[in-house]
Amino acid sequence: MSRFFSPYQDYPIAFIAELITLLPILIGLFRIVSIKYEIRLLLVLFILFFLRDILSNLLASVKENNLFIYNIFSFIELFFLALIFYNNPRIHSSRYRKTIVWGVVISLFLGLLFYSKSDFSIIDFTIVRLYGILITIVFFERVLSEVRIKNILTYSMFWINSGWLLYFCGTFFIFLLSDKVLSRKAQPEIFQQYWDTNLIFYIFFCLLASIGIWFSKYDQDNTL
Amino acid sequence: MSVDSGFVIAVGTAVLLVMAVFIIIFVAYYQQKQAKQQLAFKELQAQHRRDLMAATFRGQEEERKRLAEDMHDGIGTMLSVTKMSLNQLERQVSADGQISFQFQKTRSMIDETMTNVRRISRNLVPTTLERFGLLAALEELADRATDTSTEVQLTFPESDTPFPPSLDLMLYRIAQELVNNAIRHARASQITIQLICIDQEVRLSVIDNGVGFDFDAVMENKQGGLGLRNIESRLSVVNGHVTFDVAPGRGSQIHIQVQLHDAQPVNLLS
Repeated sequence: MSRFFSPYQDYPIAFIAELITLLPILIGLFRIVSIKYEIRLLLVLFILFFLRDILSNLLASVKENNLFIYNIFSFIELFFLALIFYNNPRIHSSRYRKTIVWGVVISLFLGLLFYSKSDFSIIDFTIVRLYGILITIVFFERVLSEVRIKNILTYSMFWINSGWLLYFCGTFFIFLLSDKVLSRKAQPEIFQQYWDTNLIFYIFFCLLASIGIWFSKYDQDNTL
Repeated sequence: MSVDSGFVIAVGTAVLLVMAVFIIIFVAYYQQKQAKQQLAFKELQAQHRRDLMAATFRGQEEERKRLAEDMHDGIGTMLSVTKMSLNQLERQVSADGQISFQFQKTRSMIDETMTNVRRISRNLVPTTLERFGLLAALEELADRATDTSTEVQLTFPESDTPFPPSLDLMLYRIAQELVNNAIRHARASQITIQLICIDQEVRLSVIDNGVGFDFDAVMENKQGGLGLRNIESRLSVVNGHVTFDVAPGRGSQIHIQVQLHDAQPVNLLS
């Protein structure tokens, strides 16, 4: 057990990041009655994030390679990202949904093509971020075009989308150049520095997503 | 790691983050502006709809007034002249029993037609309302609707709060429609018209013991329910509300609520 928890002393940001994953889950459970389908999907994703971290820690504690979990998870993240945005009832445009579907199909194809088991799949992570940036911007464009929301500051998906956009933009270049900064070739202190940066953006995303989930209760009345 | 990679990551991330923050702020600012414009536009549309409705009702009232005047002054006068002429003719023609009976029959038919013309023109333009106000007009409406099979009662407060003429006319027309419906469709034997004014709110209720009706079925039927839709349209002009407490097989209670300050600006009278 001490072997499982001891790495947290060396990586406090990782500990905070794993802990903060529970925040949107708890808020979601607190609001479970009023939250809609797409937010429930987001909750499932956060639960999977949490399980991923626990599993990777377990593997790390027994000195096993855990990078494949993160690589596989990039597909899960991609899939959930597509599902959450696809199922948003506020956006009525069929072109928006076609963009999501085509985007996810192309990304999955490329992701499978460049999948790596033993090291970080650079292309996979970059594709997820690129796809994420694309659909978050498309989503914002649709929100502004369709004018259905009364007050965007109390609209759940505005906060979640903003969190995602900042997270993907903040980590895009880290993962694009991850063969130099996050791969097994990278020096440990460099790895630590960039992995922590990635986690800080993740923490920020969790906080914004939590605000979004909190506001999801008011989504129904937030229509023009 | 070369310095270049660190530099590329730092600069690239900074550029992307600035872009992301700019997008988020822009979306928040622009959407709020858009929403405000949309709300203002919707309010403008609603106001326009209310103005159109008010103009429609004003036109309707003017047309009714013109029709009533034409009937009273034109047909009524002609009938009076016809009656006088008939009387003269009767005096000129010898008093034959058969012809005298025909004269009497024709005269009574003219009298009946004159009464009908007067009744229709009075229904078209409620002169009592214009001269003596809403309570008198509602009393007259209750009196006229009361007959051997139907009793119409009017209850109203002791203090007579004067309403704007446009509101008087609107409430009178609604009461007229509801009483008419209760007699014709619900076959009610007891109808009560209640008029109350609490604070700045006028409440008109028409309660009957008739057979009731299925509100949803009536409103879904595009051919029917015109009277009820008309009531809703009239009330929309003054932001009023109507509550239908109705069901098939029991008496109906229809309540109208109008805020006096909302009713002020609209003028339905020419």
